[in-house]
Amino acid sequence: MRSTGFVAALTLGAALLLPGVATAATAQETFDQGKALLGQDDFDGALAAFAEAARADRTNRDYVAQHARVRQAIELRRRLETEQNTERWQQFARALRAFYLSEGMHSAALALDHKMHARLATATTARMLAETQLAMERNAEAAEMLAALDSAKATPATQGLLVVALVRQGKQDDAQNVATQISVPKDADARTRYITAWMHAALGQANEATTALVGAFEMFAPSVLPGFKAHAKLCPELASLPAADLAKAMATESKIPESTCSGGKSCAGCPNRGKCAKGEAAQ
Amino acid sequence: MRIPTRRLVQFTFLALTLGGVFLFGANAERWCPLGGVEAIYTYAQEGNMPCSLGVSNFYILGGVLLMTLLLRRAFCGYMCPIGTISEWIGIAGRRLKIPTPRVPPSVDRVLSLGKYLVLALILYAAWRAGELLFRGYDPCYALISRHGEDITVWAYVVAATIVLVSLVITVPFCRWFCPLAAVLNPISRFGLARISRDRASCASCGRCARACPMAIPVDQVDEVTSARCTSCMSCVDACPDRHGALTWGPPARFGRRWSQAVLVLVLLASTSGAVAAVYLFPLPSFVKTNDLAEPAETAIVPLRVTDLACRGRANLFVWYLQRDDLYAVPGYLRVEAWPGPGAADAHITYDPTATDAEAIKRAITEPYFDLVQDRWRDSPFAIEGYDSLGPP
Repeated sequence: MRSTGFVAALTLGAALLLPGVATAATAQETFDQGKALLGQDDFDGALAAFAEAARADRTNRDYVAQHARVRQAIELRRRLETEQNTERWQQFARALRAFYLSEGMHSAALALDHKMHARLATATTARMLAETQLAMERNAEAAEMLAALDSAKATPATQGLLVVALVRQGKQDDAQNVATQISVPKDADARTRYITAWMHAALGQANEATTALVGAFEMFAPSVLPGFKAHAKLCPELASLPAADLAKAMATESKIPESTCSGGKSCAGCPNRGKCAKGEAAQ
Repeated sequence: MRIPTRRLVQFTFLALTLGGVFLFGANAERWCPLGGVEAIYTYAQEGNMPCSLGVSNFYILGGVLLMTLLLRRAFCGYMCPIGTISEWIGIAGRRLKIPTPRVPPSVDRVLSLGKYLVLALILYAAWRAGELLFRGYDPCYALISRHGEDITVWAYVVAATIVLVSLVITVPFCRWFCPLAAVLNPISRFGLARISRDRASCASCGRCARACPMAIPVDQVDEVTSARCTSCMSCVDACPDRHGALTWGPPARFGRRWSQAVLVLVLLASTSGAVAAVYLFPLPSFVKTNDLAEPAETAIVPLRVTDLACRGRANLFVWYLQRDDLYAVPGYLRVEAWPGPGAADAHITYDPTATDAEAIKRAITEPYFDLVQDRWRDSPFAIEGYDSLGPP
């Protein structure tokens, strides 16, 4: 009697649980198919796959979020063809670029970076283009583009990337010449400090690289810091820093008071609690 | 017997509070009268409530203030969970024969000022920051939040101190340090009901004064008009005069006495009225208006939104509505929300000539690209009944 009851309970439990497990497995497979289709530039197919995955497993918010991002990316691609307003066009382009990079679609990101730089020609677009080129090991192209920038666009960030590109081509002396002319202001933003750290690492200046890296990480908001730490681990120059220095940098926490309502569960410990009343905390 | 009635009422409210919190996961913070006091300034200034408080805090505060005007600090003596627990610990202490030192009146008076200092500190912090900064130190909140995320170890230090001191001194927190008592005392002083002493019948034995948990010298006054009187009637029951040297009711000049049933009825009516008001007059806890001229015709879309738990999330909700990308909603005019756990209500007022309900729902649920941080932000919100995936 007892063993029969136990077997019955086990069977019932399996009957209840297994469909859920099977559904989740199917949803994940469909999601993975969507990712593969995205890599093949089949956005419509990917969108359908993500929708199917989300419907198969409603509890997984990542599937819904991915579907929403791909749907927006499709619309952004369409709108970029027709948008006349430069500011809007740039907004759409940067959003799409970030999507491409998050999905590892570097070729698409590179093509978009070229378009942005051709249309806008700013220090920011030059930096973004160079970052993508360096990510794809197109070091010569990056160096040529960055060396041709006029003085207004020759910022510490773009020149820092030029140093990296030159070092990668084995042009150590040229890189050193450029580096000596770079003056990083004391109020430089986090990204500039990060690129400066990258530059120092490329030049083999471990102490300067670590100091700049720690300073950069402290200035990144908590929500974006993980992305830069992940990049630092993959970046050949930064990853080759002495292990102790790299570990010290990776242990750095952000000093920026970012509100937790954008991702946290409660106001507990949120550094922006005092600003919440005026709605500033959500920014 | 009066004391068992009060014990029954205390037990009922304590059971309702603890049962609601621990069995049904109720948000008891929304029903705390002190929360209403803390939220007054922020609501008046910003049109929203600190953290996860709701307008229900105001209604409950109103009910307690009315109760106090009629019955003095009967809330403390019959309903407050901290007061109940503290009192019962004191009873246990006496049964365990733990010595209960007498607090000299002068010391008692000085210590009584402590509640005003506590209230001042709490209100200054809450009104200045617009947040409940002392919540993490509040032992009551530690209990009703089931050890909420921002509870600090100090809340338990305070709780332990209250427990230990309650063993030797009756309701010390209620007498000396409770911030709500500081709010109620000025009103309680003018409370309608009071204990009246008939000098002719009184034997001046002093048992009433010794029985009073608030150390009021009942045997020395004709009417107990002390602000700290909780209408517990321990003095009446301690009086050996069965013909009623001590009675409870309106001022003696009216020549009437009331039974304890009247007190319980008023308590229930005040509380029920406050609770009913919450549902009959559901004012939003969060209101944000866009700086747009209101058109001749407006429309409202009512939504049930998940993850709209508190004021911080409500501000994020507005941030999504104010987006300036593909899913911008140019005609959004006003948000009225009732943040809370689970799915919360939100009403969006908009210009129907500039946008529509579907566009509003998309704006709330679609990811947003943050140009400043150069990253995508997935919306934490979902709308009941709205499938963001679109038709299959």
